[in-house]
This record gives sequence, C-alpha cells and structure tokens, in this order.
Amino acid sequence: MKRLCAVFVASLMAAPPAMAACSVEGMTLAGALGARVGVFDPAGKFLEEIPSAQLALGRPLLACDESLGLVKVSLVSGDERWLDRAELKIALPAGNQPTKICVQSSSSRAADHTEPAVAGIDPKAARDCVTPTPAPSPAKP
Amino acid sequence: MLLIALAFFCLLLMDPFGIETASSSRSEQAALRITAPFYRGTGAVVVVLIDDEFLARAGKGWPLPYADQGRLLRTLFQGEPAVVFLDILYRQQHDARGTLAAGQPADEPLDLLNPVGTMTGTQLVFASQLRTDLRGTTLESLCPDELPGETLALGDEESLLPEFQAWQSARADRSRVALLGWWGCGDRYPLRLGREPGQVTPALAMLEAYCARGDRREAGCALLEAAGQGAFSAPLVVRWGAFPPAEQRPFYTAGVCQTYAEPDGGVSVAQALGTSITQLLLGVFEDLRNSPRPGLSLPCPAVSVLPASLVRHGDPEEVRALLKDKIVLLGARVTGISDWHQSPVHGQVPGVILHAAAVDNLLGLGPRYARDLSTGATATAALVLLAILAFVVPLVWILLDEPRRRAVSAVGLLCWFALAGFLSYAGASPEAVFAAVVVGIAIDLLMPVQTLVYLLVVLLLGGGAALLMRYGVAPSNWIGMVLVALAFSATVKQFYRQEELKQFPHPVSFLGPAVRPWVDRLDRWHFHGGIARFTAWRQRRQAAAAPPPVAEPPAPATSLPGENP
Repeated sequence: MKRLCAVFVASLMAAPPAMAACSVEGMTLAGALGARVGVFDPAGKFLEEIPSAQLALGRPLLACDESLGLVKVSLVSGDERWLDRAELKIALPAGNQPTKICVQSSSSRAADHTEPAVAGIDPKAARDCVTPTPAPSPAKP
Repeated sequence: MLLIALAFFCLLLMDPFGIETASSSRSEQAALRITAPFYRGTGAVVVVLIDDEFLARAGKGWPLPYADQGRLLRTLFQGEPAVVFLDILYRQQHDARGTLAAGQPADEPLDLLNPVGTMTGTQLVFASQLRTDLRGTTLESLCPDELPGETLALGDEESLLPEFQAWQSARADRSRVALLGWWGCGDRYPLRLGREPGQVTPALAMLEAYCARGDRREAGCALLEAAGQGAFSAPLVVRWGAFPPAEQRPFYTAGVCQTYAEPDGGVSVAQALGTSITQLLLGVFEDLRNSPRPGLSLPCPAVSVLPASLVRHGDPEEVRALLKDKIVLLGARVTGISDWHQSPVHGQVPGVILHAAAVDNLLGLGPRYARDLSTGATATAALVLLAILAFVVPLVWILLDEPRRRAVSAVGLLCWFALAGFLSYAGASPEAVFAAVVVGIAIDLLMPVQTLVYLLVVLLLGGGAALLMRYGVAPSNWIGMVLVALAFSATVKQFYRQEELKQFPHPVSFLGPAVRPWVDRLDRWHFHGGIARFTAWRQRRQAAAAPPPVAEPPAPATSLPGENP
C-alpha cells in the first residue's frame, strides 16, 4: 500500500502542468473578425500575422487552451496554427449558446456590499447584462 | 467690529493644527459629491482592469508575463481605439535571463509590443516615472503657480525598459510617454510639468494624442487647438460624475451600479437635482459610501470600466464596438497592489480610474475644467463673503427672532421634521432619522431661530460652490467658511442689539487703558448712525407687535456702544 501511495505521489509530482480544461467538440471555424489574424506559438507568444483568407472556414477546431485564450485551427494549406479566440468567429454545436460574461461587482471598494432586488426591467429600455440560465441536466436513470 | 472681522479673516488664512487643511479637504469632498450629479461624462473613456479573476483564469501571477499582456493589448488594439494608455510601470524585466527552468519560454519585453507592431491607427501612451532626485532640491512642488522657467529633464530614464524606449523612439508619431509620480500637489492633478512639449501627465498626454486627429469637436480639443502649449497649465481639480455611462450597461449585472446616464452622458435636471439634494442631506448624517444601496453609495464612476477577463473572453464584437475610437486605459486592480485613489464620490477606486476621470474632465469641460483660484483671489473672495455674511446674517437673525417668533420657530421645527421624513424616504439609517428629530426638537427648545439661519447660510454657500464649479473654479474651504462665518455672525450680532453690547475694551483688559483713547477715534467705523436707526426701527416694530402695556414701559436705550457694561 505504501509503495502504491509513493508511486501515486511521484507520478503527480512528475506530471507536466495540465492545459487548462476546455473542449472544442462540435465547434467549427466560421470566420475572422478582421482582415488579418495573429498567429501564436503554443506558449502564447506572438509569431506573425496572416491574412484571414488563409483560414479554412467550416473546419472543426482542433484544440484549445483556455488559460491563453487560443484555439488551434487548420489553414487552407493544411497547416495547423494557434490563433487568438478573440479574433475569430466560432460556430458552436447546434443548440448551444455562447456563455455571456456579466460583471458582478463594481471596481470601487464599498464596505459590506449587498445586491438589492430589481423590481423589473422596461422592455423598451437598454437591457442589462443577464447571465443565461444553464440548461437542465438530463435526469439520471 | 472691524477688529473682530480682521481676527476671523486671519483665522481663515491660518492653518492652526492643520485644521484649515483638513477642513478644506473635507469641504471640497462634500462639494464635489453634491455637484457630481451635474457632471456630464463624454462617454469617450474606457478603463480595462487586469483583476484577480483575469489572473486566475489565465493561471498567472503578478506581474503578468509580457506575452499575456501582449495578447490583451492586441485585443484592445483590434477594437480600433484612438488612444491606449498603459498605466503600468515597466521599470525592470520580469525574469533575469538564465534563471529560467529548462524548456520554459523566456519572458521577453518585446512580447508585449510585437502583437501590435503593425497596428498603426492607435496612439500608445507609456507611463514613466518622474525623477525623484528633483524632489526637495530643485522642485519643491510640481504644482507651482508658474511653470519653472528653466528647462529640466524630468523623466527618470530608468523607469521605462530600454526595449520600450527604443520602440517608442522609432514610432514617435504614434506613441508617447507620460510622467507619473508627482509631488507637492495634494489632491490636485497636475497637467503640464515643464515647458518642454512632452513633459505632461497621463491625462494631458492622452488628450493630446486623442486630439491629434484634426476633426475632433470636443471642448478639450478645441481649447488645445486654440491655445496650444498655453492650454491646461493650471492643475486640475478632478470632478467625478454620479452616473456611469450608458455604454457600460450591457456588460454589468443589474443592481451593481447606480442609475445609468442617458446615451448623451447626462440625466434630466430633476434627477440630477434630486440626487444632489439626497447626497447633501443624507451626507450630513452618515457616510454614504458604505450604504448597501448603489443609488446612495454611487459605486460606479462616470467612465466605462471593464474587467480584462471580459475583454479577453467576452463577446469580441460587443467589446470592439465599445472600444471603437475611444481613449482606453489599461490598469490593474490586483490584490496586493496598492494603486488605489480616494475618490470623494465612489470611495476608493483603482489609480487608473483617476487618470480616466481626469482625461474625461479635460475632454468634456475644456476651458471650464475645475482649477484653483490664485491665493490672492481666494483671500479676496473670503473677505467679501465674510463681509456680506457679517452685515446680512445678523440682521436676518434678529428680524426672524422678533414679532413672529413662534411662527418662525414652527417653520424651523417643520424643516427638521421634513428632513427626517426625507431621510427616511431616501433610505437613511434609522439612527440618522432619529438624530434629525432629536436635533430639531433640541434646537426648537434652545435656539429656534437658528434653523432658518443655518439653512440660509448653507444654501447660499452650497449654491455658491455649485456655481463656482460650473465655471471651473474649485470650491475652496466650503465648510470651514460656513463655520467661521456663523461664528463671526454670532459674534457681531451684539453690535446690532445695543442692549446686549459688551464694553470695549473689556474692563479688565491689560491693553485696555492704552487702547481706549483710540476707540473713540475709531468709533465712526461702528456705523453708529445706521445701527441706532435700525435699533429704533426694531423697537417701534416690537412695540407695535406687543400687547398693550399694563405698566410704564422702560425708556428706550440711549447708550452708545462701549458705555453699557
């Protein structure tokens, strides 16, 4: 048992830092937001810019790195490159919606901040940012 | 009376135990908070904050590696803003070369700038530090009345990495350096630090970069174009708005911020007035910054503030639309970094928001940006104000105190009860409401007329402070002046009520015998004729209002000042 624990701890310590968890399953490249996009190395360093026309649109994304905000895509030439997610239009699997990020607190420091209730929202007025409710998970058998 | 006026005037000019300084600071904070609802933001300024959440999401510590900053900077540049200011000092490299573990990529400074190397449509402003060796030797203050005549090198060249200096020099047409770390300015925000073109602080550097495109129509750009290097030489008193810009709203959860401004940057006059009165009345009783209600604590500034995590991981099209043609400031709000500034309206805000508010002031207010009067002008204004209060308030005080005194007292008490009701309606704490009721009752029992006098003086000076601010003059010692003026009015009141007049000089005064011969010569300054006529008129008025006498009334006072002990 001791030997098993030692092997387990040693394997944990020797493991390389894991890439931040994210999934590109079912996602495809729909386009770019600008005429040129930046290419990065796997560590997130900027390498060069390439024309957006070199991107192979409609192809599935190959990989992603959540901590760096990069996704790996195919080019028309067949090469693979790491690009910045913020420069791309990405099509999600059918039925999925992008997660909206809402700012939950102000930038100033206020003591004992509490969230007051909201009486209602005027449908004609500018809408507040609302985080979508996650879809209910299927009931377990 | 002249002697008393002189003594009180000297009291205003002196700073005993730092009370005047503290009072000035508090006065100005109160005035800035009350006038904040009338400030109209430009909507042209956006702050992006690197915060703890962004670091956690990137799995990085602080300082953030250059490559990560570079990707963030590229995201900002892709929004095509007019200007980006980096409110981060790049004084030292993050990692000494050779100390990195094998296989770990080097943290190269140019990883920050390479991602934006080809993007030429945005002006980049770096932050550099002022030379601290000038402090106490060559330059006592960086906010003098006149800029130093001699040309001095003000920037500390070691406070910006050589790689960035070289990059900036090669692209001087689209990048510049702003100077930080000033001294001797108190709460003032200096703009020009020297006579050389580049010797400016971040707010003015951003404004110059923004206005470099010739078609800008904002008030700040117009002034810059008209006056050139002569514009914006006086330090700025930063005005803070009470309503965040409407453009920020789609990014924030409802209830985080107070009411948003209209798309044009302002709100209706009624709403501004209501918020201002609420801040004034509730602010007397409690510190509103700690209120849980955003409408009272006003937590969000009048410039858009976005966390970097939203900029990097939010909807890129929404973010780009917000940044387009704006002045964007990149700063940090990370636990353990002490770059915080005390704002009179929002509490503590990250330091970068001070620069954002300052450039918003310059851009929107232009020639009406708030600044101090010269020392001479301030002293003259204080003297005139004291003189007015000395002659007006005691008369009002005495007149209110006489024939209809019960009606006046009733109005005063009603004012306190109305205040208590308003406090309760506006969400003040029960203690504040209770205090308003108790103080009202106490004042009614002890000195009922004073309520209306206080109300008059506060309204006069509050309105005066708002008016001054409207025309770009900083509200000076507002509360201090009110208190000194009230004390002065109470002291000189006796000159208008001869029956209460004390002997001058006092009978036991040491200097009295020496001064007494001069008093008679100076008596003409006591306005005896006018005061005697006023006294006679007042007594006739009292007699008319009083019930028929049942006994012989006392003879009218005929004594002159100085004769009635």
